[in-house]
Amino acid sequence: MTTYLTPLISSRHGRGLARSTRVVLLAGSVLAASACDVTNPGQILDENLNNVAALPILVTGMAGDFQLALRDIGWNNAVLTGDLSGTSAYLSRQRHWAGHPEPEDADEYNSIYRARWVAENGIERMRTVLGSAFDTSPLVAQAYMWAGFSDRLLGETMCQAVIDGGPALPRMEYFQRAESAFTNAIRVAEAAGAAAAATRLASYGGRASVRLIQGNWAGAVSDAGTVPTTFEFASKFSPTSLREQNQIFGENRVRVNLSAKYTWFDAYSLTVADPRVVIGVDPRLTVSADGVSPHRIQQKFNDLGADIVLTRGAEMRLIEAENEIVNGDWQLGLTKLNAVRTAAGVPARTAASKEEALVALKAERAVVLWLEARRGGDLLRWGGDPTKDAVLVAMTAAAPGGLPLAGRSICMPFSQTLLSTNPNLQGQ
Amino acid sequence: MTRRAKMLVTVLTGLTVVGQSPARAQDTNAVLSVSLPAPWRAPTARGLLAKAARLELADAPLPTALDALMRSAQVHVAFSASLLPAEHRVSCRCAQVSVSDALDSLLAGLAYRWSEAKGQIVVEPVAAKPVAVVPAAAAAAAELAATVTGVITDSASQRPLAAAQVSVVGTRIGTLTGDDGRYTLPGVPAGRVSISVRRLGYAPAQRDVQVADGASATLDFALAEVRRTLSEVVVTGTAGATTRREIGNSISSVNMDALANQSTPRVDDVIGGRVPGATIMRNAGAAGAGSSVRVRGINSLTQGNRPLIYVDGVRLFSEALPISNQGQSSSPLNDIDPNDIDRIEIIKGAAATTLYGTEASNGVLQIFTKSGVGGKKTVWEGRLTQGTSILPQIGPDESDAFLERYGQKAKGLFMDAWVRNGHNQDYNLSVKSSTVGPNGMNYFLSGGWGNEEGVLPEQSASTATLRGNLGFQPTNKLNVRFNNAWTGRDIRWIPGGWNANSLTLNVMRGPFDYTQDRDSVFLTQFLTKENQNHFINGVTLTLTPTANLSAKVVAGLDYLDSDYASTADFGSLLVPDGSRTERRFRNLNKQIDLQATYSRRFGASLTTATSAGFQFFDAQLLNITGTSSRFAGPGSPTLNTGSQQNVTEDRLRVVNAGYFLQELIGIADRLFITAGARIDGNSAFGSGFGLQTYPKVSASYILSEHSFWPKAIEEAKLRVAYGVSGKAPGYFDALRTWTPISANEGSPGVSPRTLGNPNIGPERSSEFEGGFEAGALGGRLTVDLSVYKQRTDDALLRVPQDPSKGFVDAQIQNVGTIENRGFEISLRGVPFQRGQTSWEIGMTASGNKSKMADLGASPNFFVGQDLAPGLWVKEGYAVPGYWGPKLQNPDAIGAPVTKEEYFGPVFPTRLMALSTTLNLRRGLSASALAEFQGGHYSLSHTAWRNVQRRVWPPCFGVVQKIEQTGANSLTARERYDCGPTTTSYGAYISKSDFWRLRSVAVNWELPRALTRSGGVWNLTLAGRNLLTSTDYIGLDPEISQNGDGFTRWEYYQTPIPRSFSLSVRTTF
Repeated sequence: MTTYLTPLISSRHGRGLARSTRVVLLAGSVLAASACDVTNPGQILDENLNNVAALPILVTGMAGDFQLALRDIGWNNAVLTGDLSGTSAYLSRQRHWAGHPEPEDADEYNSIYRARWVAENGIERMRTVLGSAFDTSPLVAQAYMWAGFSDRLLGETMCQAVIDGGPALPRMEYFQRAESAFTNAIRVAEAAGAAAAATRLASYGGRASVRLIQGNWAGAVSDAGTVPTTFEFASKFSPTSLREQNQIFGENRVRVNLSAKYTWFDAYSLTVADPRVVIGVDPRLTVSADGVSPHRIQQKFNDLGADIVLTRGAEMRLIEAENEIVNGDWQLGLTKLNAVRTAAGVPARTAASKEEALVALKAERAVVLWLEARRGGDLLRWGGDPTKDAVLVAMTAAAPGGLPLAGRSICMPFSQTLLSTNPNLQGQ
Repeated sequence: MTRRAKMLVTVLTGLTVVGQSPARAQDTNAVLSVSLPAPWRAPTARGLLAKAARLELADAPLPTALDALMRSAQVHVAFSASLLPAEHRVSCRCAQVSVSDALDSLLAGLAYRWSEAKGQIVVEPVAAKPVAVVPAAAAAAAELAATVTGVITDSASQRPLAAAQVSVVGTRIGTLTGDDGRYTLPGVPAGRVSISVRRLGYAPAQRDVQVADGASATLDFALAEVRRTLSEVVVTGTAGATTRREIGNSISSVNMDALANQSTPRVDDVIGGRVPGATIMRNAGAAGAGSSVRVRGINSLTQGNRPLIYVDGVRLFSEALPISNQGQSSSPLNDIDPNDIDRIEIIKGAAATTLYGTEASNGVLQIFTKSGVGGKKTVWEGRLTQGTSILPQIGPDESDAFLERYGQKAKGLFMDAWVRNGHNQDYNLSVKSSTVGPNGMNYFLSGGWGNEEGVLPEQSASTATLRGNLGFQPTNKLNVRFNNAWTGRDIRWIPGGWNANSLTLNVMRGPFDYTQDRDSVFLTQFLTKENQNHFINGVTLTLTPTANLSAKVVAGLDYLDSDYASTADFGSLLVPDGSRTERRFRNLNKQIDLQATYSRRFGASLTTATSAGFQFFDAQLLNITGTSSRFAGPGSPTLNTGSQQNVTEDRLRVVNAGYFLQELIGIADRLFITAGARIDGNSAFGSGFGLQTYPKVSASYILSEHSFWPKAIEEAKLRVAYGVSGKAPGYFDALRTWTPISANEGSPGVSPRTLGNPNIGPERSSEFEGGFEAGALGGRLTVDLSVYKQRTDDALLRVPQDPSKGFVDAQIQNVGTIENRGFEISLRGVPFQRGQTSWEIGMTASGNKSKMADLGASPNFFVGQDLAPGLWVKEGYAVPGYWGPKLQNPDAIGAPVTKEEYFGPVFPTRLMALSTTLNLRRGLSASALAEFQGGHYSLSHTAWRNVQRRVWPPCFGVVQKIEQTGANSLTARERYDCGPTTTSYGAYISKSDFWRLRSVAVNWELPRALTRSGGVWNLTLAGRNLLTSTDYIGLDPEISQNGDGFTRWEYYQTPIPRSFSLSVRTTF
């Protein structure tokens, strides 16, 4: 006889299982929804910055974002304006050197847009957080100052302006905003007193420079007069982190991608023992990364932490000198110019006419502002013609095979990212 | 008890790790044997008889064995215990068999038949009196005097076959072979007798032999393998162990047994060329460098494209480790010692990976390690390998003029003097054993050490592994298994690739480099070491309270730690003040998977299996990087040595929790329909995003069940599947955040980081897949075809933001659509087979076409870098693709005129591999595998940048022309290709198709006469990457900067060397 065993699972068991399954699924939904509430450390939420205690780090962040922008722009712009030669295999540097940067090259300049936005957005945040204390806060003065320097750097390097996703504007828009920001910085700094003394002087220096570009000679000279000859205000660099490092030193000294060879400054350094333009060689690294160019090393910045000056008394004295040359007594202007040189310990310049004095003035500004991403502003206000700029003429002639001078750009186009994300810039 | 039954039952059918890991770690190869032939075996299994079973029995009473079969297969087997020979004992090592096959073996030699009726299987006698099997020992007591002995082997591999059933036809005399394949039949009647041999998976054999009273005869058999692929049990991507016939999606498996005599030093070597649709690209020839693994193309632009990796049900950290200063990183996939692997299963797309939920859209690769189920005996296996790596020539051949200019040191792109022959060595010892019975245990212990010397000086990687797999059965309803492994790796990197401090970059540029030919500084002044520890721990509890219900719990922990330190000495050439980077990377995965399956049968032709599961997965990543510079002086530095110190810390956690439901319905044993859904929550989803549901449905239809189907094609299946899977966004993508920075010389500050997107959710990949599988000619010809179309909606793209609005970084948005479509073919044939001689050939081929179907709000965007031009994602083109200036006026004398045009995809679109194995007499066998990858492009920066420096040998003629006569007479082609100042990167975006002879191995199993120990000894001479055929313009079409990245370009990486090895392997 064959015996068949009964199934091991009865219907009663099945109903129990179904109930259990429902319970499990309900629990699963609750767990799946609730178990995933995780907050990771390390980043700061936007709303956490809306308190007084956070404002110092917010303002330090403004300084940091401006410094990063100056780092990104400094070494690129140095090649565009002839401060250094692009003796590397970098495509972007090659186009900078040739004077024809593309929108994709300008993406390396995007950090300056952020710096401007961070400062201006931060000012509004501070206005809300500080209330009545806003107009006397040294931090607010600094914020306005960083907004001013950001706008100035934008104006001195970019061919056109754009603000907060708006339409394309003339380049001068940046200088107008810079002047306004510096004016506010001065106002708040003066109200804040001694705690904002350096901010006040730096803002005067900044406003003088942007007034000069806008042709406001009187205003520029007036502001310059408030800044002592010995005063310097710099963007702080540091070897500590990559974003804080002086990239001109890194690319010229460490990676031999930029050389002072072929530049007007190299020739100048070989004829004048000027401590402001010292160029040398490292006998171990005599060829640039392009494999053919002699490698010449700038010695203005001698480590990754070398600061870059944003405004100084010497520049103010040159503003005063230029005003005299252009608008008054050119010989007095030459004297003022040579006072700057004397202070630097270099021989005086000579000139036989107003025109020669202006040439000397331009050369002196080039020396004083070398490698500080400032020459774009001078090129702009002196007509924007590269064929009439001694620095560019010398560099393009000396480069291997020569570089075309006519049609050379002296500023950067809108970046590819800007063009592709801002509908107001379509067709630019 | 003197004859206490020893039994080990592993019950796994119907179990799946909830959601993430439907793993069955205990699976091994099918091995089944009992005594005597089975006269009543159904010709084709179907219905309950086709269900998957898994038994490990040794000398167990037959009723106990049938009871175990019920639990294993979750079917009810009705039988009369009183009619069964209670004393009859059976053994069955049945890891992947159907119920029919199991019954075939358990009842072999008995006059019983079985059939399916009323939702159960009925076993009943067909004769009045069953013929009982007399164990060999009993037979020996009989008065007949002759003895027959012999060895049963696999005719292809000549490996001994354990547990084969050997019997004397017409008698009750029978026995099983041991692990060495040997058998002894005592008490054989004198005269001419027929000896029959049967073993699951092999064609039965029967031969006559003449024996005399008191004499001995030897009769060896070589059995031919008969593949029944549709009966194979798989677990990956299914809710529970399931036979292939029931699965509607494609699944590939690689059995390591078949590769035992080949050279597969790393896991990616195992997969490469053997799994259609899986692209394995060696990124560099550096020791310790991992490969890129892609399955069915690219379906994410931002969230990674590597498949998930599981080992014995435990999810590993599946990404590559952080990059080294050699431009490469190691892969956790290669932390598993191939010697420890039993098999690998791979599912490839969303149609198959739905139950794994978020993160699984790139496929799932599941590794099963060995277990101690080798029978009663303790089995030791040792392997010793010595070898060398050789890099014969780097770069193109040099002309005499080139060598005259730069000297003999310029050979091999100036690298000849730097390249060495690397010494490779590897040692592995393992032991496995099992005891059976209700309290039985099994274990597999393994340890190994190996060292690979790179072909560049000082470069090396050494790896040590330990594994302990332990299983036991505290009750007959509960199985417990622990899998624990540790891998330690020490890598000595040297500066390489895209790095100003790169040895290869500086050497290959000849005199035009950063060091002015002081390249030895990279060996003497830089030191980079990486030490890794990887622990993989899992415990699996398998509960089978009834035959219909099973449950499984897997708790897993994967811990990976990397200590990376790179130092530039004080006083070094390029970093005079010295610097040090110390990076501690740690990832901890924790998981708990729960799953249960309930099987039922309704009537004669309807079966169901209902599964549900829950999974909790918690990944915690820590990455601390400290840098120190400006050392106070020479000496052995730490981070404290430098006066300038900086540290960054990333501490990130992601939690994924989800559950699934699945229903498998079988109709008439021909049609199998599966439907299910996975519901997930994930901590990276935006606050405005809830749970995600991923549905799936599939069907398989067994054509070969029909009477009209040609008998020559024994197995044929049509399948179709649709499924959805996903991929979570990044940790901070949902939040608007600011990042802490240092500014104003060390003061704390903040800077905008992520714009945030509260509505961000996962990418959703849906896939439609169809396929056909067939086996013919007794398994000598098998084919597996698949076509698929995959669409990733809500693809997470980095949508660039207007920088004038403050947030420079792109915002991650669910706006894109990526499409992948393709086909996969796997063919295997045995065109010749006679005795021990056979010839097997195989082919895998696949094609994949990826397309960025829609970019949503995002414009076409560049995915390269300033130094890596040409890489774009553009709507309507491959993801990503190479674009660049193509020459329009090649023959004109003058400047090149170029036009920006599309070159092609970055990743291969066509893969093919051809393999062959030749088994000869006297234990000799040879195998080879050649692989093709094609349809893709790469940019050789090495060539392009050396052209700019006048040291790319093929361009030296143009350089000489320029030096002698100037550039005026040059054609545009010459200027475009070879002009140092006029060349274009477009000239060096090159088609990267290549054929590579991946492996060749010759194996000799030593004759027994030469081995005194009685074990099995094998000598294997193997070579890898021996020949390459390519028109690629640069160093090597397979290498790439940045290891396993989204984009690929060649930038002074070490080419893939040839390697040779000699292995001795013994089993005893």
